[in-house]
Amino acid sequence: MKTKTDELSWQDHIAIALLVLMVGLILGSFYTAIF
Amino acid sequence: METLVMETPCASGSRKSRVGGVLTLLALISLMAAYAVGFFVQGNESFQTLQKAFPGKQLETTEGSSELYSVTDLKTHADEGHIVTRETLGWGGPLTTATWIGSDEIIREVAVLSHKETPSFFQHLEGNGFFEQFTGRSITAPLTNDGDIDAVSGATISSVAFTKAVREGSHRVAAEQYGHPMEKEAEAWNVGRNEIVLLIVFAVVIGCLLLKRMKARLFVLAFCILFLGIHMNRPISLASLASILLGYLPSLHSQPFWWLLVPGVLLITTLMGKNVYCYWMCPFGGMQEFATKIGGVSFRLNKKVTGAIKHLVYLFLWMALMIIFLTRNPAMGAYEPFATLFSLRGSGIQWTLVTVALAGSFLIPRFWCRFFCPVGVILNRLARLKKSIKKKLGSLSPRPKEALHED
Repeated sequence: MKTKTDELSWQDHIAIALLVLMVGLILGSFYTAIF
Repeated sequence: METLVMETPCASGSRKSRVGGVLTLLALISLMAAYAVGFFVQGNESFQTLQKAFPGKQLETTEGSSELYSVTDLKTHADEGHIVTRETLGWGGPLTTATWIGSDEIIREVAVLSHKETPSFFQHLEGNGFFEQFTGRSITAPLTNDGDIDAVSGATISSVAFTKAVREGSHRVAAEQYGHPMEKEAEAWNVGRNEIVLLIVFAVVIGCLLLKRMKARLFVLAFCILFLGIHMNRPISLASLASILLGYLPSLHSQPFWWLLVPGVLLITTLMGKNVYCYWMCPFGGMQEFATKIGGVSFRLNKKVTGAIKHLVYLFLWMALMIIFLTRNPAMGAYEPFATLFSLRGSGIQWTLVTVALAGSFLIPRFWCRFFCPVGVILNRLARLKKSIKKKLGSLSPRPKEALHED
């Protein structure tokens, strides 16, 4: 059964967006450091 | 030999830990391989780099020395003096300069053959005409940052290291090739008020922890933002820890601050079993905490989100160490935004990283520390070392049955 705690809140969605952005930026900084 | 395999109800948990164990082993093996490759590949291109730095010149080693070359013009075959190479230790690791000295005992040009300084700091030196200062000076000149060569503010350690390399090379040529009596340099202790302030910070942190005065933490953090961050620009980064693994240890005389800060924090963390640096001293951690307080929002994240991303920092740590070991350059892999923030110098992507990391901290407490900081991971592991040793020692000695319930 799906409970309320399983659902992602708007806060989680903002966090996910920030986390994805950070991952991209860190990978980008590795790329710029090497090439 | 017999091996007993017991099936337990939490088989999926043990499978997960087994996968984790295999991944850790693979990561360690690949890191050791990268370290070995980096170690054996280094240094093979040094002569080619030297020739590229001085086109149109024929270089021949002098008296079997790999550091001193006689220079001849390829077209006119005229004697053009000497080139001397010298290696010293900068902020990021070893750096090598090549100083071209004319037959008139005057420095013609200084070229940097290799360095491991943070690229934005090196560009700062070049942009401020640091290396041009040597041109036209006599090889018997003092060539010191207290005298005739100006250090570039904001890149002092790099300036001092490059100056030392040029000075040592030039004075060697002056003594060996031209017979000038050059005094041997005595290394002076570079201890000042910054080292004393750092010792006081350590004493306050340890005292507060022992006396359980946790309210002082924010005050210490605020002070460390100013001192370690803005004033010194010396937060501990992955580069600081990786340089120990690469053996790039600065001289105790010239950089006592490094010796106090980096090995000092590692020692205190291990002995106290607490990550004192991240929670009490890290300037970037402090800035994030104050950002959360200013933001006034503190997101409570679903465990699904935090659980999915909590191991990502290990992947970044592995990637960073692979780059550092393969290139033997700590500045290459250190992806933290500290240097950009406190030196106010960095590339576009580094500035974006700082901005997003700080913006995230307004909403999520210690956003960078929780999900991305490689130093935090290493220090937390080190802090747990004491507990796990105690646990292992405790499990070796039998405890009374009543005491077992206390845990």
